[in-house]
Amino acid sequence: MSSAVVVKLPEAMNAKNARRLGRELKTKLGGNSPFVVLDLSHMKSIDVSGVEGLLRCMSEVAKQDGALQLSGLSPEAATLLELTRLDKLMQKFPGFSIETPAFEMAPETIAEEVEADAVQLPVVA
Amino acid sequence: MNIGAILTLASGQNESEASDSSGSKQFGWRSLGTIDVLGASLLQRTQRKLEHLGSLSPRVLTESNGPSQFLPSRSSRSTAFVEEWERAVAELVHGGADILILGRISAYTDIDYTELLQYHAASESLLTQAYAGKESLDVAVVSAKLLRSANGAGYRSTLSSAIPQQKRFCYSGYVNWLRNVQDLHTLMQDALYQRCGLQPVGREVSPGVWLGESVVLDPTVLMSYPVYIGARSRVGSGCRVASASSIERDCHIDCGTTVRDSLVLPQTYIGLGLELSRAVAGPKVLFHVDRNVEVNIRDARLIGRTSRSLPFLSSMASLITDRWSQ
Repeated sequence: MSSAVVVKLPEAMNAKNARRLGRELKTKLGGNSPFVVLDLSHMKSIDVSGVEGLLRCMSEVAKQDGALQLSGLSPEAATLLELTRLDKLMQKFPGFSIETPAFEMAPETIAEEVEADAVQLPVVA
Repeated sequence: MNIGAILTLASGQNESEASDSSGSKQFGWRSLGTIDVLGASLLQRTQRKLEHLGSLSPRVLTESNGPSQFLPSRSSRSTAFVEEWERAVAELVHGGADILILGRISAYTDIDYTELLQYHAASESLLTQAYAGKESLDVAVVSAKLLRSANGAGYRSTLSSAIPQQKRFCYSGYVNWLRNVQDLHTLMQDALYQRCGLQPVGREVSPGVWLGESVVLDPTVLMSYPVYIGARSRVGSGCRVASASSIERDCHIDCGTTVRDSLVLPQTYIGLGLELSRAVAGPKVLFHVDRNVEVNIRDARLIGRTSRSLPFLSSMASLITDRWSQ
């Protein structure tokens, strides 16, 4: 059974949270071709360090030949991703379908691994 | 004929007009009427129009709380603003004005004040208000003799009594109600596409491209008309300015950034390699026109305020460029 990592980004994506994201992902992204879901529903601000943190996250996923997609994209987050051009970079990743069970996250945790019942990669012609 | 004018303006935090479901009438706590569009604000443009008419330099009154009123009613509370308004009217009336133009900086129109005054005179009215359809344009012409008859009753009381007999000047030209930031963005684009009479402050260096004075453009900048770049602004290498965008005065667009379909307000710094699309950007604040969302940008490396020394730096940059080209 394949699993995905749901990364719930905090309200402020700054240097401190970017470092935390990096540490969490190192422990969570163990296998080949990880599936990572970035949950942006709480993200309201980002600074240059936060952008760098997300770029490192994407770089790590790409190195492991993984897939990345966004969820809970708030209008604020969409605006910030568009401003920093991260949206275009994220579109380069293959998407996937995943059914995640509802769960409560501890506020300190950024990343959580989720067992998925079905993970489908888009068929590439 | 002596013409006096009083313009009222709401500024600062305004709870009654602050964000509603269709966006805020203010941006970064500034009244939209004071924000530059293509080189000058609605307030400045109205002042110039009135001065061009031969009016004495218009008095500008600012209401810090609640909506500004250009015709305070007799029942208005006696606030500092209302008292100031009464004093301003008294000065003009006693100073020999024959006609008073009272206006509120709200909507943008191409109203011809000469036509309005001619209508007022021809209709022998004491009070004429301009309307677009059923909506008031917040501009009125008052004959001073109406106010001279106030006899201590208070000018607002006198004006209130005259409202039922007022004449309506029907205006059918361009109107932008400037109710929210989206309207400000629309006004900018309507002006660039010459759909209204709002003229850019600057020189049209090529069809559809206007530049203010002392603009510094890197030779690698790509521009697709119509575009406006305001005085002393700097656009760095590899930038692209496209799709009816305006970069107002004293801005700095850093290298590799694209400004598309957007308005960059005065003294705004836009950081390296960014993409501004369908937005209004000010120092540390970004409003997305389609998503109707205002985002505070805390990192000045993304969007910030330009340095106060920018005019000096711009002059130095121009001097160095000129020396190299000799």
